[in-house]
Amino acid sequence: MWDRAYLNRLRKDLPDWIEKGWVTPAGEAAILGEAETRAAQGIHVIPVALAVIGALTLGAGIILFFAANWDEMPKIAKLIVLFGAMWIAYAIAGRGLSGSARASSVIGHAMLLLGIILFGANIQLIAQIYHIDAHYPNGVLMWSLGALALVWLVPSQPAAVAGIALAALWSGMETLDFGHHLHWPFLGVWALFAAPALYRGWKWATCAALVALGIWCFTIIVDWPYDQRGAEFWLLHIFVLLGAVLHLAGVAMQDIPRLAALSTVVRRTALIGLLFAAHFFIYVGVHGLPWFSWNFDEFDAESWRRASSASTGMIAFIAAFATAALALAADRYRRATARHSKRDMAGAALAVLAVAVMLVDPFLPGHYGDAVFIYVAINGLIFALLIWLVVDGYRSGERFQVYCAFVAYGAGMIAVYFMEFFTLMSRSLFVMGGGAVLIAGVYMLERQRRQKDAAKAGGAS
Amino acid sequence: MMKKYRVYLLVLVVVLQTAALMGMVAVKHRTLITGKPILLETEPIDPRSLFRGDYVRLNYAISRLAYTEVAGDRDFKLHDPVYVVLRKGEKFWQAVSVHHQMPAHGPDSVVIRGEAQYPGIWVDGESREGINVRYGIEYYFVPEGEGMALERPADGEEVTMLIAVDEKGDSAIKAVLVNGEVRYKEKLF
Repeated sequence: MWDRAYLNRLRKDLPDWIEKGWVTPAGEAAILGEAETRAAQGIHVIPVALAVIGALTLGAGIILFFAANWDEMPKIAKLIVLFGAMWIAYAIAGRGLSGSARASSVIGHAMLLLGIILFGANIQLIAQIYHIDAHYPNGVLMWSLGALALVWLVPSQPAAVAGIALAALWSGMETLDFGHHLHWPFLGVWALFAAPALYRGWKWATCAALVALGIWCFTIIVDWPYDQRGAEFWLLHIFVLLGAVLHLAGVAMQDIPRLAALSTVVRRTALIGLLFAAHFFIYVGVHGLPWFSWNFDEFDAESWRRASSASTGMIAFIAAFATAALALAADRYRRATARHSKRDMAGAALAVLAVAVMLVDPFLPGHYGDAVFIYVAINGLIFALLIWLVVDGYRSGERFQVYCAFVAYGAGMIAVYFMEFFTLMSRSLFVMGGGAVLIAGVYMLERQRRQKDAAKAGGAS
Repeated sequence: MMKKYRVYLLVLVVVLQTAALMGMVAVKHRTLITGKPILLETEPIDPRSLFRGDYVRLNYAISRLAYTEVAGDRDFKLHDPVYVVLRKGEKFWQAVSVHHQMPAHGPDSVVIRGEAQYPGIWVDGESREGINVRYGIEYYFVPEGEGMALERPADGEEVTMLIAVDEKGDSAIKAVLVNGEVRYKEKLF
């Protein structure tokens, strides 16, 4: 369908290009011929989509039919229905994947996905038929491992995405329902999904793996034990640095032929994770500071101490990720250009400063003044980082980075606006200052762009 | 196009998934066949779930263990494994001791394995030191519309459960009895 749209676009544009002398009439015929051939071979998405929807609707109707008669059916009949449905889905999948047409492959993968869904439904229904009331996250793990077998042996990207989502659900249940505050086994299952996703260059599965890792990090903070409250602050250090490491690893992947195709998805997903984690530094509570205004009369700043000190394990993790982030940042700096621009140097300086603040932080005594200093330092750095991301994204043509930075900036502004820690006047000054910086930045960038365009136009004439 | 050996690998996946599902049935059925049958007193408690069909949620007399009434270990945390030694009373099997690990026991007793829930129990409106235990036999699925009859039996009706407990402490519901008569009995097919 898309090839057909492209062909129509070409038919409109080519006469104009011939007129401008960019394309010869002979070239026009060759281009249109090639595009027509591709359009004829392409997938007809609507028939395929309708076929899949039809198969799913038929399947749902059959399931409902059996559900209506479920109680009257003997166990053996129930088992035949459950196993039969799963086997049929996989049989159609095998047939579809054996075909040479791309549409056949699409149907094959859709049926594999249906097979996985039925495998999960069978786990639940067999547990019901035989009154199996076990540790229920194990059922979700079993479901995920069923998808993992497909990922490794068949292989299938939709199965990988489904399996990773199930692994995240399993880990979430273990963490939130069964109190495994650091559910390390998730990382093992996660790696088993992430490895084939990277090896095969699966963009969606790689994205899903990174999102699942982000959800795992988030649930750790959400479910951190109450008697260790305050440690979320150190976890945020680790997760922000982890996001930075993954983002910079994505940059480095550009030069690795096998992984180059995944560079964009890794960079972008990790950037969202990094900015999401960094956003929480804006909230004064995670720094151990009181949520209310610092003019609050009853608050005794002198007797205040930070809610939590960093354990040796936390410091080790912060140091390890900080080292990795610095190494990758240095690598990016080296490979950027032979002559480094001010933008590259500013980025490197920001990375070094951010890492320095995060490494020094755990060793501060933890007085009120230290917390205020760290609050200002970290948020100042985040603000500078956002500006740098806008400039860097604008210059390098990475619009996604610019949008992410603007969204993070807006979210930060809204968070500060609603925070009672600041007085109305300080909030007003902050928001006005932020807006002014933004307008000035956009003005400078636009002026530079116009200067560049003018220089280009002058050179051409 | 899928290579031919990939089709064989897909068949292997289907075999693995089928084996995993059959394994669930086999493990449960092994407990039913090899386990020692014991009769437990129940305290039906709760209504149904839209997501899980019509089922009876059961509470057993051995689900709440007061430390004053059972010997053994005390310091259980949430989700710890719990091994409870049961001995036959006048009619029902009753808890005599509670342990962190499988204890040695005589032929006149069985050990059932469970999972520690929240500590502290309520007995006759009073808070007492003890532990709530979940054994994995708390749910029983019944045909639509029949759950309530078991959860809230009529006056004079007594619902009891025949449970199979194997040598590892795993348990499975063997039969549901109403006034001593079998109402539902578990079969493989």
